[in-house]
Amino acid sequence: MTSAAIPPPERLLNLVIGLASARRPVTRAQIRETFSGYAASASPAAFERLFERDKEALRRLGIPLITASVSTFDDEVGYLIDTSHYALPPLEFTPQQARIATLAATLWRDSAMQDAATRGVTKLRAAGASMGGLAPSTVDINAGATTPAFTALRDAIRERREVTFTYRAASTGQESQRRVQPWRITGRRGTWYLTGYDLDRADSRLYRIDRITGNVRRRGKEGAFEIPAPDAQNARVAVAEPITARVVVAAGRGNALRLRAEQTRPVAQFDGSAGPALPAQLLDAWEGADVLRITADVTELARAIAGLGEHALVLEPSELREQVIDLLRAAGGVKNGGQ
Amino acid sequence: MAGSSSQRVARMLSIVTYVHNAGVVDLDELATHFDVPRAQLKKDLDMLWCSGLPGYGGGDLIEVDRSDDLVQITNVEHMGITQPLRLSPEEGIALLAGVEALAQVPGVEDANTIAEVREILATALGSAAEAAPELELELVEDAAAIDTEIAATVRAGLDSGKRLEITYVSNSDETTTREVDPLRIVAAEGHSYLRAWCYRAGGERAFRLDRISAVRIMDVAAAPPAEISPDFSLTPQEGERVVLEVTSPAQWVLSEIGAEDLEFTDQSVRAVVTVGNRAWFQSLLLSLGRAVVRVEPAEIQQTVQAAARRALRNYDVLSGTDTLSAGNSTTP
Repeated sequence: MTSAAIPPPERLLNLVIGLASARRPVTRAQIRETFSGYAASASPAAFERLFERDKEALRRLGIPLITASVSTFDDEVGYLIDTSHYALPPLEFTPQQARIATLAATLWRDSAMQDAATRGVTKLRAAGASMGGLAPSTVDINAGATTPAFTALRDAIRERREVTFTYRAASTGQESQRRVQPWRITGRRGTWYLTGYDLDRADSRLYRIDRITGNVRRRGKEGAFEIPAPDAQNARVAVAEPITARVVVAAGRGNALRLRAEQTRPVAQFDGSAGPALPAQLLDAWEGADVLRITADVTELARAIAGLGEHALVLEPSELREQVIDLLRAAGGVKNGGQ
Repeated sequence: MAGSSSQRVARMLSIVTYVHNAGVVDLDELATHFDVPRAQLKKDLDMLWCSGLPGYGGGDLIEVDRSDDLVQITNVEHMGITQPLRLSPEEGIALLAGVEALAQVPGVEDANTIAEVREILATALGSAAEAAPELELELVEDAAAIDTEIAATVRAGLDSGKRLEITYVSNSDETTTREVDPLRIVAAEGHSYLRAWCYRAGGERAFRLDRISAVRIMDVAAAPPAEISPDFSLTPQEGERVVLEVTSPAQWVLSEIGAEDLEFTDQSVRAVVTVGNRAWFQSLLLSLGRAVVRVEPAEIQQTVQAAARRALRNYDVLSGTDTLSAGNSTTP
C-alpha cells in the first residue's frame, strides 16, 4: 500500500504520528520499512535524502524532534517526538484579538515569510482562536515581496551562521565580496535591509538586500556568534536629529507643509510692533504669506521646501537654507563647485 | 513547494486538534474557522482518514466521520497529536513582527488589542520572544505626522459604513473638500492611505492619512458605485509618459513614484514615469536636485530650471537685506 503515490503532506503527517506515538526511539531502518511513503525510495541514498528533507520540514513546523539511543547496548540512534515540548501553552483569544493575529499574518502575503505566518495562524486557530463571525479587516498592508537572498539570510540568522555574498555599493556601484555575521532583517518601504557584522571591516554594517548580487552562501558552523541587543547594533537606518525651522510660505501654497506646522503666523505680524521683525522688503514681497514653524528631518524638509520653488523661503536655520539653495541650484542648472 | 506542503501538514494537525476537542463541528464552520475552501477541507479530511500508525490497518487509522456535513474525528487519543502544536521560532517571529508593525499604523486597529495580542504571542513563544528581534518591519514613517483623531474618525467611518467628508491636500499641493465612501486603509511606500470612492473625482482614489486636514462622518450610508478594484495602484495609470533618468543612489524615487521600464547604467537609472499632473512632477524635480540626470521632453526641465532660478532670486533678496542669512548665497 505504500507506493510512490503517497503525497508529501501525507508522508509527513504519518511521520509525525508515528514518532509522536512511539514509546521507543524509531530507527531509520524502521522508518524506511514501516512508515507510509518511504518504502518507495529507489535506494538507501534516496531514502536518506528524503528523510533529511522531512526532518528539516518537521523542524520548520516547530515539531520537537529528538534523537536517542535505541538501547543501552547499542549506539544506534533512533528518532522520537518530545511530546512534553510539543504543545502550545494554553492561550485564549477574543475574536478581536484573533482578527489582529490574522491581520499580522496577511502582511507577509507576498514574502518568503508567508508560509510561516500562515502556519502560525493555523496553529492559533487549533488552540481555539476564532474571529467569531467578525468581518475580515478593512486594513490592507503588505510587507512587500522578498528575494531568494532574503530567505537565505533569514535562515542564516536563525542558525547563527556566517554568510558571504557579493554586494554592490550604492555610492560607487562597485561590487565587492562580503563576509558577514547576519543579525537582523528590517523591512522599510517595501525594501529589505540586513544589519550585520562585517568581518573584514570589523564593524557593524547595514546592507540593502536588493543590492546583493548572486547567491548568499552560508558557511561554517551553526551557532557561530551571538546577536547583540538591538540598541547595541549601531548600524540601524540612520535617523537624523530633527531641526526646527521657520519658513515663509506664500498665500494658498505649501498646503502639505502647513499641515505639519506647529505654528502658523501671517508675515504681517513680523512688522516689529510685537516681537521680532522681518526686513521691510521681505514683508512687501510676501504679502499675504505666512511664517510656519516646523520641526522635521532636515533633508526631508529641504526637499519639501525646494519642491515649492519660489513659493517658499527658509528664514532659519542656515543649515536648512543651504540645503534648499543647493537643491535649487542643481535644478536650476546653476554651476558650482559641487558639480 | 515544501512550504505549501508544510502548511498543509500544519493545517491537518490543527484540524485534528480542533475537531477532537470540540467533539462535532459543522463542515462549513470548520472551513470558515481555518479559512480554507470547502473542497480543500474535504481533501484534508480524506487524507487524515488514510493516516495513522505504522501498520496502517483498520484500527491504526484516524477515524473521520463526516456524515450530514458534521465532522467528527476519533481514534487519535494515542497518536500524540491532540494538543495544539507549538509555534516554530520562524512562525512566531512572523506573527510578532507583523503585530509590532500594525502597532505603528495609527488609528487603524485598536492599540490596546494590539498590545494584548503581542503579550499572548510572547507567551506562546516563550524564550524565543526574548531574543533580539531577527525580523522587524517599519511600515510607515509618517506615523508621527498623522493626527490620531483624524485617523480614528476615518476608522470609525469605515467600520460604520458611513460616507466621509474630508479636506485633503493633494500631491500637487491643492486643498479640496470632498465626499468619499471609505473602502479600506492601506499602508504602502512608507505611508498610510485611505482607499475610497471619491465623488469629486468620480472614481477610486487613495488619500494619505497625513494629508487629511479635516474629516467628518456624514449621516449618509456609504454606497460606493463600484467594488474595490483588486489591481488599484497608488500611482496614476493615465497621463503623460515622461522619461526620467536619476543617479543610482536616488533610484528609490523611481519605486516611490511607480516608474516603469527601468534601465540601469553604471551611474544612473532611466525609467518611464506616468505623470498625471505636471505641477506635481515639476515639484518633484525641484526637490531632487543633482539626482536628476535627464528629463524628456526637455521642455519640462526648462520649466523647472526657470522656477528654480526664480526661487533662488528670493534668497538673493533675503541675503541682501536680512542679516540673518550671513551671505551664504551667490547670484546664479
